[in-house]
Amino acid sequence: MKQIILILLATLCVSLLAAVNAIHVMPTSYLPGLDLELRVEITQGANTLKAVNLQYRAAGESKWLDSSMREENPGFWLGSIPRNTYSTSEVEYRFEFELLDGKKEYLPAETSLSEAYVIAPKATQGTKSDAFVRLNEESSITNDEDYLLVVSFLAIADELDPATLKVFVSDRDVTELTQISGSTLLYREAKPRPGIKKALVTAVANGRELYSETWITQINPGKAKLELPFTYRGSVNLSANSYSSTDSDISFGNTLSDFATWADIYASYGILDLSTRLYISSLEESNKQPVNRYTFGVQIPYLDLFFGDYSPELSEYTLNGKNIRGLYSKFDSKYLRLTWAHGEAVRKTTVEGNAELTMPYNSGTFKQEAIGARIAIGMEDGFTLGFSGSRHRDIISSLDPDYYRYIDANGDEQYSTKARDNAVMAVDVKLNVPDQHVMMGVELAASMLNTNTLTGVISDEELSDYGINLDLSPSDLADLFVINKNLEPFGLTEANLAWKAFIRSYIMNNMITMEYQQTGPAFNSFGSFYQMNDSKMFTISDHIAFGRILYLSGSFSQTEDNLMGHQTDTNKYRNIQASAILRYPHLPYLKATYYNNSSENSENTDIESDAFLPYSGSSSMMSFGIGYNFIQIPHVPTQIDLSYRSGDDSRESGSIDSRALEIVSDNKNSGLSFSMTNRFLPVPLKTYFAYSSGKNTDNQLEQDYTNSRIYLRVEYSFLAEMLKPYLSFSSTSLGGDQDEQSYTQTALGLQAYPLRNLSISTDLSLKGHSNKDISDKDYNTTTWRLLISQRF
Amino acid sequence: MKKYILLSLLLVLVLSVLQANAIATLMAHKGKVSLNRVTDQIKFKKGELLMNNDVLRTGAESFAAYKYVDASSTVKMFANSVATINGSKDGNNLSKSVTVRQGSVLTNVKSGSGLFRVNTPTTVASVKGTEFLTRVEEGGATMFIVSEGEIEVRVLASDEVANVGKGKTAMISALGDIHLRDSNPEDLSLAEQEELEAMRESLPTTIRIPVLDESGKLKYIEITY
Repeated sequence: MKQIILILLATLCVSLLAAVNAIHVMPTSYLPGLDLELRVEITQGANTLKAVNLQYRAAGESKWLDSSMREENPGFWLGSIPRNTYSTSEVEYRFEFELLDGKKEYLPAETSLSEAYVIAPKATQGTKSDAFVRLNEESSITNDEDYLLVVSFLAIADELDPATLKVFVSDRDVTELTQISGSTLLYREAKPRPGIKKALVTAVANGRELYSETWITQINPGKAKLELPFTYRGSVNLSANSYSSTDSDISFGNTLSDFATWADIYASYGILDLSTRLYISSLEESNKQPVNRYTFGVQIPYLDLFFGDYSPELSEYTLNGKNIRGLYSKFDSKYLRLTWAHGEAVRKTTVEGNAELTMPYNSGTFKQEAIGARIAIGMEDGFTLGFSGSRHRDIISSLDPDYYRYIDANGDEQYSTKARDNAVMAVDVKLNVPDQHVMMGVELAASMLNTNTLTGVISDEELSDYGINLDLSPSDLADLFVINKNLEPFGLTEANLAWKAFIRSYIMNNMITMEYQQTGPAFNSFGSFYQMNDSKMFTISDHIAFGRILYLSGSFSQTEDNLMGHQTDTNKYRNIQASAILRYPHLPYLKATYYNNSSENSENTDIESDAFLPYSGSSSMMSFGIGYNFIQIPHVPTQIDLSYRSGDDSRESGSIDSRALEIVSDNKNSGLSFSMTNRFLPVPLKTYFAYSSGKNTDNQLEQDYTNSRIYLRVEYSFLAEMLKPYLSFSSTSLGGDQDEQSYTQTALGLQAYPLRNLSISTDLSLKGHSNKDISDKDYNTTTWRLLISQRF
Repeated sequence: MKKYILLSLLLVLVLSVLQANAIATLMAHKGKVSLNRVTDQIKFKKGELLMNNDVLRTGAESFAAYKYVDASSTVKMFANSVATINGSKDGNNLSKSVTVRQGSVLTNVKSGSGLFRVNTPTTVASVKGTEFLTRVEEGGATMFIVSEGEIEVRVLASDEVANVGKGKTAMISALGDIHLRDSNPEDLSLAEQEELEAMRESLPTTIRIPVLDESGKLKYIEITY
């Protein structure tokens, strides 16, 4: 049993350390007026993923907009930047990976030295045409004048389909506001806002997509009083999901029907930035942790204020990305930054006991209050010294004693729930040299955890019994932190400490990061995500780009636990990963990834114990892929992607009788993924076909297990892509150490864009699940989904 | 019967207006300028799309300029001028003409851009890539002053044809007599001279880029090129 637990633990740790590795082949450009589809392939850590989001914004903007991605094929996620969001701007985008533990990771990685993917408007499938001629050639006007765009397309007037003409000015589709007369169009905008305006025209002529050059006009402030620009953007969304199953006992993921509405609104007026994020779901229950989110933010130079739900990031070890409902404020000047966050981190909930059940007493969760503060001195682009602190406290008064205290059969008082206090103090130093593209920093944190504050504060007498004499009485400190014998550990030691150091440099498109972190066994921080206690980890990673042609990345990390030497054995984990993308214009792209995870333990000879069981394990995987967009195929440009992967994993372990390592498991695995997207030019038809298969060979049992999946999708566009009905079918068969089973899924859906920036998508999906050996386990599910989104 | 004829004419007129396609765009105007389309005087702004047979009038100390949609030709009208704009699509080219009834009109035509004619009460000037000024006096006397290229002038009354080259001035009397001589500065008014010089000079362009500094104050970066 211990062997199994050790193996599971090792696997868990390795997967947690490895997190998510993904590979993305960036398109060269985007075509205004069409959805920009983007794919990302998860090469490692797919099982740690909760969701993947695509984040995008116009280059230079500060706020990201989000779009959910869907897993089209195992490990392959597809998302899109909605049509008409951008048409003339360069667009930045990145992928956000939401992990099961709530943590978020990004591709490209979120560092102040790395950049998001940047893509320019134009089109791989379109052709730039000089036949669009701008008649008014002003490169610079004042905002006292009208902004004018007068464009002639006389030379192609006979071939051009006027219904396909689209006019974009500063990322807005202004076709409906444009006067089109013969072979000339005129767009006029009174009182244009000072700044740069970019304009672009697209159309279809003789079946070919054409686009103009991008015309740039500088709008200067005129003599008229400058009106402060008021801008707003965002989206309002509504989603509904309905699930039903012929077998209500079967759990197949999310089975709760729900609806939700959410809105993201950003507005700016002069120096004032306002943001509102609301999310209201039918899954919200007052006796469960909140699902709804309400955020209202005000930002002016030097000051940020956010009310409601916010995820403050004070430092790595204090408050770091976990949601707090309350107030967040930040004073941000060149040399001094002060941050304060205060609110509810956990909601109070109660559970009624039932004598007939295993829990005969009431229980619950205390409302947990979080407070965090930070002061940082120095320049962000220079040397910074920061002090951070956070405290999480379970509020005892929030819960009726009946829900945390009970009398057991012996008449003794027991606690079904314990209230805790957690405090973390941290100091960090960062040196940023932008000219040299180098950044380095260190953070050191110490924590205190009281696992039960219900017993009250320790008395001065009890404290002196421990040999500790303080100038202050613990009762005087109770408002800050409750000190009693439930402190873990009692007193500040190395076990309470965690620290991290990093150096990162970005030179000649080559970003190298080295990081070392060490976390004591008793270090606890409720405000940051999972910390692997009693461990030290060293990571080095390198990302290098040769123009937009060759991208290479690699990383190595090693983790070792048992820092304090209190355990019978020391576990060591190593992870190596590398990936490469070669994309030469007009030629097929090539991609390759490799990873290797290994783990082993060694005996701690300082502790005499028979419990030590040695083990070692390793797993590796290598994959190669090739893809190409065959635009040369007449009438049916076809995008193909082919990947092959091969790897193995094996584990060896000793036993209580003999510490000699014996093979516990030895597997080889391989897989193939193929996808093909056909766009039919004579008709607005698009088909997608994907096939994937995997084979796992158990070398011990000399047995093969296979699984495979076929996915087909056909979509047809009506009314110039305004309506896109689609039909998809997938068939999956699974083998392995489970029962042989298979399921088919058929979905009928519709994507509609009835109004400008309004999109509606709905689909009805029927899934049939069959178990080869036990027909009683067969079941069918029906899913209906609806998403309405209005952007503005 | 008259009623039906009138109605038919009106219908044809309406249809012709509805089917009218833009042949030019108004690039600039200053002072008292009017635009007549069919029988109506219409309101307009800079950028207005001009249709076939539109009539532009400039008053005293006024100015107007338009460009044909093939982007090949620009016509600038000086004070107290009247011009009718014409154009028709000829394959992928635009056949263009301007009828100057009164005043001074400066024409700039790129070569290889299809037919371009300047009509006056007494002459027709055919142009293939040139820059010249047309002045029509009261009574129909016409003067062509060619600063670039060459034009061919045909007198309507006599069908007499004369080629007028760079640096030459052709004077056609109300009776149709042609007189050719070298151009001299006195042939052009001050405004006409300035306009010609402006067309030849490439003036530096300055753009101002508004930026917010760290304290949120609006500042500008000026780039002159």
